[in-house]
Order: sequence, then structure tokens, then C-alpha cells
Amino acid sequence: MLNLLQSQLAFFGAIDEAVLYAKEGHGAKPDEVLRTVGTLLPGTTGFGQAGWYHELHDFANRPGVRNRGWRGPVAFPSVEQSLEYLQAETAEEWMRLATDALRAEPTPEPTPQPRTEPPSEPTPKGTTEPPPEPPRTPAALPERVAGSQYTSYHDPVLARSAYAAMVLARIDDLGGMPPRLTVIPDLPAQIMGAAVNFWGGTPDQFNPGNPTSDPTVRELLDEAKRVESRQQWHSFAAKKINQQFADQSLPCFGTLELFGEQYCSTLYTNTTDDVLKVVDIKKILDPRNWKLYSKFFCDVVAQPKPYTAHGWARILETIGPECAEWRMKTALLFYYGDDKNGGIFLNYDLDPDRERDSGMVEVDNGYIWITPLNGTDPSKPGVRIRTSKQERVQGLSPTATAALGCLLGWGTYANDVLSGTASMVLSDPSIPTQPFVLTVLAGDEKLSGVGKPVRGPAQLPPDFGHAMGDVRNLLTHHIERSRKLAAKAGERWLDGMTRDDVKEITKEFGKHLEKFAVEAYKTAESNVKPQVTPKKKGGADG
Amino acid sequence: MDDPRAIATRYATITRKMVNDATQVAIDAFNKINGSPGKYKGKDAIKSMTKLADIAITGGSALARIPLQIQPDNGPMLVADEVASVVQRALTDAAAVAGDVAKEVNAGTFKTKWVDSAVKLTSIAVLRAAEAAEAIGAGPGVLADPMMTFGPYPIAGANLGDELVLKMEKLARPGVDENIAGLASFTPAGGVLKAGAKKEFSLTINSAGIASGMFQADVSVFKSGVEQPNLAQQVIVNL
Repeated sequence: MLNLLQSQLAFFGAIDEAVLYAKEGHGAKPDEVLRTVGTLLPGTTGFGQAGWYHELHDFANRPGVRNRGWRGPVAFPSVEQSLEYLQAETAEEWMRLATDALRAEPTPEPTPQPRTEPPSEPTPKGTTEPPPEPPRTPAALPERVAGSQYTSYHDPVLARSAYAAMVLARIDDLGGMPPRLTVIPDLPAQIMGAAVNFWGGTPDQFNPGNPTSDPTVRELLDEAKRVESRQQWHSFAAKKINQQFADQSLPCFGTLELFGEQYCSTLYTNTTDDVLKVVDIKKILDPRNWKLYSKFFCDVVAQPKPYTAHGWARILETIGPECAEWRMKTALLFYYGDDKNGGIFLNYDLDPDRERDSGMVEVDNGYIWITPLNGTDPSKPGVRIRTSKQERVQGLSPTATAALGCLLGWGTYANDVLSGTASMVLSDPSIPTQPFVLTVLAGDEKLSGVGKPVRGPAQLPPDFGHAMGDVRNLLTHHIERSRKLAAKAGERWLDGMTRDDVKEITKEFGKHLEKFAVEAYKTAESNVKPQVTPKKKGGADG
Repeated sequence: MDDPRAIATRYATITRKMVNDATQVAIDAFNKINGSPGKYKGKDAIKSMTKLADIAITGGSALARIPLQIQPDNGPMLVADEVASVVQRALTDAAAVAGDVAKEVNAGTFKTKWVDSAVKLTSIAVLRAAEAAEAIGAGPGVLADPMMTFGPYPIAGANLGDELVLKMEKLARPGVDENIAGLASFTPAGGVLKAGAKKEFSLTINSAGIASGMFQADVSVFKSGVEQPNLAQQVIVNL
């Protein structure tokens, strides 16, 4: 199904496609393309990093993530579809495009009872079968945020789309566009023109027939040809449009951290705003309000038992760009605190009781910290928003996890809370919000911070650990053998090397090679074949 | 699961390529020896061996990846890619050692350095194997620096002329049964604020392996071994 988040993801997916194309050596300057993208989108071009878009698509189709009410595979929108959606000027047009896309997708199962939210996963106790999905009518289509209205004005998704357009322009300039993307005329300009104008509240200035007719768009695209760093883009975008656009446009990127015995992606953000106050954000900081202004949060609700024995709030978070198709539910605990210097914060961690949880998340903890930009008075204009999140999702690589966090949500929280939609929520008293109430503790919570998958072990191949251990041993042995052979060669050379010596050494190398290949084959074979345990002689079975 | 015959074909293809490539290296070496007698030097021999090692390692890791490729889940393949890149780096390191050896050979000083070179190669094997093992566990990514510094925090009410000693009593997220005080260290070292020195301190915390969150640090202050409750500090840090 179409929506802005998925469309934006598709534009970054196009960059990933160009990276894969370059990694295969295609295009005029593949090395230059990889170097440039690696600088502008760190951690997306290396081994095991490129191809994250495809991985995310596979992830969306995994059991436990793909909505069980959804028949057939989840399909991500094409770049063409995403572009058309991005350029739609009215809510009616969005609705039409999304409905058309919906019709082209597999038919859902019949829905006996319409619901207003996606169903829960079965509880860990496995007591209930989840009810089916809501009817997939246009009314259920999401270019909005639950319970409030959406405005494209200052929408961070659009600013990030503009960044994707800049990177694509850079790739295009280096002759690195894959053929499938070159058939779309002026792709970077088409994205940039719509994103910049809709973000700025000037959609009438966008001309799809001539996207570079807007001088700002033209200048941004011209600059794209010279951009060598994220900072360079940020400075130029701040000068050409404004600071907020520049801040919002830069996608965060994940780093790897060891937590407990598991590696996880960590996303840090640090954003400021000169106008909003701490007391403003306090009104909408409670997680149950997030769905009002962030499209990534399909639903955030209190658990049936809303507090732990020690006072932490128990919250169930449902996230995804299109929750009717794929989403993750995570049971979290929240602590509402203040820093005694005018700031407030939320700490969160996995709920040891994974009630109604999809069971995909293994690590999920962090904070959102809102402080006055200057001094300690929370009622004065100016805020700093710092967020941190450690996340590990079962079977999802750190790059794809970072894409999920930085391009779709979590890492974009600060920008979402500063968006036009959040402003509308703040200024409209008719939209009910949940207040931020400091946690009153009745003791200390025991939080391991590491969640055990509730739906079975990680989906790695059988004997994966052994296979990789064997690979390591084979390589170590091989390097050791090479070392010995090199020593022999060195000795012979010192004594005066002859043709026969070379012959003998290469022959010996050949023997090693053969042995190595046979060992590799046998090892690999033993790892994919089920192991047969020999029967004991004289045992009950014979 | 793929057809076993298809798997066998993939093995055969890779092995055949390895053998063909290795043969070509040998042919090139012999051609050089036969074509220009006396021109084939120790450096050339090492180059040939490096090429052979390259073929073996690249081909070997390709072989070892086959069982991963036939699995439906894409995740392990990504990890395998990372392992492959570690192996490639190992090869680059090995080639660098071989190159050094060649230089020593030509300079006539090789014999005494041979043990060093052998140790280097062995270390590469061990280090890269460890790196590969880590990649297997972690998946690819950029490791973040876990050391974080906070402060300075002035101690209000303290006398400049006193020597104070700080002690981290507790470092924990509020309302969580944990204490990571042992991961924090003070600046000045040891939390000793000497007489006449500014009465302020900074904290360096090794955040490796701990949850992210807002942590509260409870710092007690001692003068001449006696705790000074009125000087106790409570600071909030974001890890």
C-alpha cells in the first residue's frame, strides 16, 4: 500500500539499488559511487550492508511481522508509484492512488468484525487467536496520524526524501544510475521538487512537467553535484531553505554497540528548536500521544495492567509504515522523570512480561530527554531533544535495523515532535492527549534489558554456528599451511632456487589447495546434512 | 532446501575455477622461468604464492558460503559477506607481509627476519579468525566508542583549601535494580580534589555492554575520611 513513509523508503531503496549496481562494477565510476554514498549514508555500502532494502522487504514478510490477515506477500511500492504518490497534491489524490495500489494487491481475508486497530499477536501464554484485520477500505488508509490531522508542512519525511533526491542526483552525475531508474525522467528533480515545495507549504510552485522551474530546487540539485559530505549538504540546505529543513533532512545512522552479550544498533539524535518550549513538548511526550504526530507509530497503548508493581508504565507499541500489512508489537516499560534542571525525560526498556508482543525484538532500550535550550526555565522558548535507542531485532542486520529506525521512525522522533502535525496537535484543544505524569516509584524494577524471543529461537539455518566455526577453523588452518609453505619457499630461495624448486612448491601448493577444497566440501556438506547418531552396539535398538 | 545435485554443481564450479586459476598461476610462473632464464626471482615466487593463497582463500570462503546460500533467510548471507570481507583483509595483510619479505630477500637481510615474518603471518591468521568470529556474532556494523565523558560538575559549598575525596556510590537508571558505579571514573584521577584546586569533577563512563538510558549518579564526598552529606552530589547523565 502507498503512503509517504513507504514512498520515502522506496527512494532510499533506489539508492541501495544503485549501490548494488556499483558493487557489481556497473556504471561509469562505480568506486566513486560507492565512496560518495558511503560518505552521505554511512554504513550502507559495505559487505553485509548493501542490499538492506531487500532485506527489509524480506523482513516485512516474515511470520510475526507480516500481518496474519494479509493474504499474499507484502509488496513495497515501486519508485514510480512512490513518486506519483509524493507528487499528489490533495488528500483525495493520495486516497485515489492508495486505493488503486490496494486494488492491485492481494485480496484480504473476510473480516467478520470491523476493528479500529490491527489485532494483537497471541499472548505468550497463547490463550487467544487474534481477530482479523480491519476492513481494507480507503478510510483505513494511512496518510494521517491517528486521531489528529496531517499536514505536509514541515513533515520530516519530505525533508528526508529531499536528501534521498540529492544522493540520487549525485549518483546520476557519476553515471551510476541502474537502467531501471534511468527510464524515470529527471528522477532526482521530480523527488526534490515535490519534497521541497510540499515541505515548505508551497505546493503550487511545484511543476511536475518541469520540476527544476523552481529556482531553489534547481540550486539544491546543482549543489548536489558538488556535495562531498553530510555537513556540506546541511550547510547549503540551511542557507537555501532553513535550519529546520536541513536538520530534518539528514537521516541518522546506526552504530554497533555491545549490550550484554548481544550486538545491537544504537541510534543517537540531538536536535534543537528555538521556538518550542519544554512545557509544550511535555503535553505530547507521553508515548500514548506519539501516534497523533508520528506516522511510524500505528498504535501505542497502555497494557491491560498499566503499571508494574514498582510504578513503571506498561505500554504496548505497534510500529510500521503500513501496519495493516506489516508491523511489530513490542511490550515496553516507561519511566517518566525530570532532571532537576528544567528538563524531563523518558527511560524505556523491554517489559519482562512480553504481553501481546510480536516477539521479534531482543533489545530495546533508551531515552528521550527534553531540556531547555538555554538556562533551566522550561517555559522559555527553545528546546534541545536528545534521544538514544539500542535496538536488536531478531534476524535483522544492523544496517536494516538502522534503516528501520532512521528512515521510518524511532530515530526521527525529535523531528516528528517538531513537525507541523505536532504543532497542530498542540494548538488544537479538541484533540485529547495523555499528560506526562512523573513516575512514582515503589521500589526498583529488575530489568535485564535483554528480551528473549517469545516465538521461538532465532531463525538461523540449522547448524549455523557450527558452520561458521568450521569456516573459521578451515581458514586458520589454511593460512597456517600457507605460512609453512612460504617458509619452505624462503629457505629454498636462500639456498638458490631452481626451476625444480618452483615446480615442487607449486605442486605442493596444488596439493594443499586440493586438500583445502575437499575439506571445505566435506565440512560444508556435514553442515547441511542432518547428523546421524550411530547406534550403540548392544543397545536396545540393536 | 535446494536440490542436492544443484548444490554439488555449485561446489564443482567453484572448485574447478580454483584449480583453473591455480594452474594459470603456475603456467605464468613457468613461462617466465622458461622464457627468461634467471629472471624469476624470489619476489616473483612469493608473488605467485600470494596469488595462489588468494585463489584458495577466496574460493574456499565461496565454498563455505554455499550452505548459507541455500537457506531461505537472507540474514546469514549478509554475515557471510562480512566474513568474506574479513578474509579478504587477511589476505591483504598476508600479501603485505609477503611483500616485506620480498624486499628483505632482495636486500639480503631476509634470513634473520624470517621468524618475525612467520610470527606476523600467524598473528594475522589468529586475529582475523577472531574478527571473523566476531562478525559472525554481530553482523556487520561500525562499533561505537563506549567511553562517554560528563561534566565538569562544581561542588557548591566546598572550601577551596580542603582536600576532598569523591566516591561513586550508585550509578543506575532511576527505579532500576542495577548499579554500574564500577564503570565510572573521576577526573581528577581517583576523585581526589586537592587542597587549593578547583572543587569540581568530571565523569568518564564506559557504557559498553549496558542499557541506554538516563542514569542517576550518587556521589558522596569525604574530607579527612569523614563523609560530608551536605556536599553529596547527584547528577544525571545520558548513556
